[in-house]
Amino acid sequence: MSGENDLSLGNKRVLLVDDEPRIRATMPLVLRKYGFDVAVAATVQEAFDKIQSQHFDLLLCDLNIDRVGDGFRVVRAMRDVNPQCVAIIITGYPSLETAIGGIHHALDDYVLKPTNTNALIATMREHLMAKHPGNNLPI
Amino acid sequence: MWSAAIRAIDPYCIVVVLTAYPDVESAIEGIHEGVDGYIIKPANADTLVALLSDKLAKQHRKTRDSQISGHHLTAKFIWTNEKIALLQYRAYVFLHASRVY
Repeated sequence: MSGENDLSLGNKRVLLVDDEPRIRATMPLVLRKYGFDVAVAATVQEAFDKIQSQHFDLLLCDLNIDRVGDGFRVVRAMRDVNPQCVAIIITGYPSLETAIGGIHHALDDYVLKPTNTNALIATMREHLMAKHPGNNLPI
Repeated sequence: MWSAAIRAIDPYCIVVVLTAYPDVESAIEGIHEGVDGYIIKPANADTLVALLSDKLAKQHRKTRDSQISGHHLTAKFIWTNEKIALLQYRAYVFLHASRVY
């Protein structure tokens, strides 16, 4: 069994929000290799639209999209619609203020860029299993 | 993993970090441990009480149909170095919040 399959997550729905075209072009390809069903948004509004119209198990969101820190707006919108959704912020510009904001938004994780793919997948898997303990994800 | 140890005793315990030495690493650790708040000293009493009120109210709503629904919401502080654990005893929280800060 390959390393990718070892970390397979079935068909969980992920919303990836990032304003960087390079990330939007590459990250979904990686996540799909691990079995994720991935939707992509480039702006906060686009993320809002997808959150309103689709169900997601996990949100993977850049911290600074249209403006500094507006990834938290996406997290709040997701929490309003689906409180059980795993919410992970990714940022290349960590700060004390936004990390504390992460606590107050009850983030599931705050991941620093550049991120290691295996570590990110393992983090996503861990949080999905914690939120859905009865849902047996493939090992 | 001090917050995990606290929640092993009481899974409904509200955990707030209180520190005079804030940094990104400890705040990110707080996210990983699922703490409810991170307050920088010197703590503003109003801010602390507002945070506690909000968390206790949410916790009470979440657990009112569970086995702890009959508990009296008095309060209790546990000091662990720079950290405070708050158990769900509301009156004691406010008493100590006004006395300590």
